[in-house]
Amino acid sequence: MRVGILAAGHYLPELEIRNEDFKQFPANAIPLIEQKTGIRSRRFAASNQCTSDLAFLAAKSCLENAGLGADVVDGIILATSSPDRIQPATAARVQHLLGADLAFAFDVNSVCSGGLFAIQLADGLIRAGTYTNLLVIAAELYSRILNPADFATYPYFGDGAAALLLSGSGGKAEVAGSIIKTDGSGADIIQVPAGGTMMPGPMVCNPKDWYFSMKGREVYEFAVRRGGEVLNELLDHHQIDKARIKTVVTHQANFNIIRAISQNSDIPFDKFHINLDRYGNTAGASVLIGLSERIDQDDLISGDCLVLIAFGGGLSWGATLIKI
Amino acid sequence: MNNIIKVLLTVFPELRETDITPDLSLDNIPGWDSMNAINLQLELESIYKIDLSREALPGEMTVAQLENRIKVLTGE
Repeated sequence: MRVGILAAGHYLPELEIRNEDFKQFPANAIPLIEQKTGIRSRRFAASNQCTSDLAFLAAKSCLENAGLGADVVDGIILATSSPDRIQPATAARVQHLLGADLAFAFDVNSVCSGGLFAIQLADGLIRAGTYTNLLVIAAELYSRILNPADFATYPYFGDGAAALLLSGSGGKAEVAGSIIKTDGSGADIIQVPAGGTMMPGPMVCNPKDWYFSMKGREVYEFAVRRGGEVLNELLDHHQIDKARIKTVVTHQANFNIIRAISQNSDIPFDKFHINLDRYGNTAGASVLIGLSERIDQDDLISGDCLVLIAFGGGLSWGATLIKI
Repeated sequence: MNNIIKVLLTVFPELRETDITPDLSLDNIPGWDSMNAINLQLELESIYKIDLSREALPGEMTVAQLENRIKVLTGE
């Protein structure tokens, strides 16, 4: 069975925060943000928005682009690592907001790889013949889980969401295959320590434990190694020549990581879609936002191949091949 | 020295107190990078009420040199 992408859509909050807007950090440190990562600005959600609101707006845009109503949606799989609440699934509120009354809805948390893990799940459910139209959404609101005083994390993330309508009944682009992987020995490298069963609220002694933390050096080395590795594995498995690749959309964590993956894979850097300069690292949403932007450019033709690559907490990583 | 140890333990949660010696260089602290150098700068400025430039905390600086630098800036 062929699984197609009927439409894509994305939503970025209106509020733009430029690097120079961070008044809590020393003025002479501000240039470091762009020098180290390539990030110039990011979007932050309004105070009355939560993750499900961003997810809903991206899904609404996707359905509008498909020219379809929410009644065609059989299920919603939402990738997020910054959910509305520990429970219920953030996807449940999205289902209600959309009025997709016939759809099941649940969350996937594989941090920055979540979007690709959700695509793989939806792809499998459609191929099994169980469902026809599944909405894959990735939405993140990291501005609420970052410590505003932490220069090692706060300036590098932004909020945003994107959605794909995957279908067993058509679509210009085809989900040709995916690889998803996890190495749980690195589970402590990227984390929000508090709020779960390992450190429930009443046990929290250090307020910093409520915030996202990561070990920057380890993340950089992991992303460069696994990003290039999974790209090559995907292309080998599907016997795709690199010359056929129109665009690579990687997770948007750091300009230097993307450049290193380009060099290690011998795929020219100008084939890599970049939005981190405008949106920062939108975590699990970044790859789907990039794909949605790429589809919006409306220049993809039959025979083109797109590769999606993600890497993040878990540690987790993966790649998806899209054929036009 | 005790205050500096507290600051280092706050900024670098993986650092153990027993590993902090006068000749420990900043770039040998687990988690040290240019981003966390800014966090250290901010924490020192807040605790000691001083102004540090980014260049004031090079990676090769030792804990003893940092302590001396703080003493100069605070006039102790």
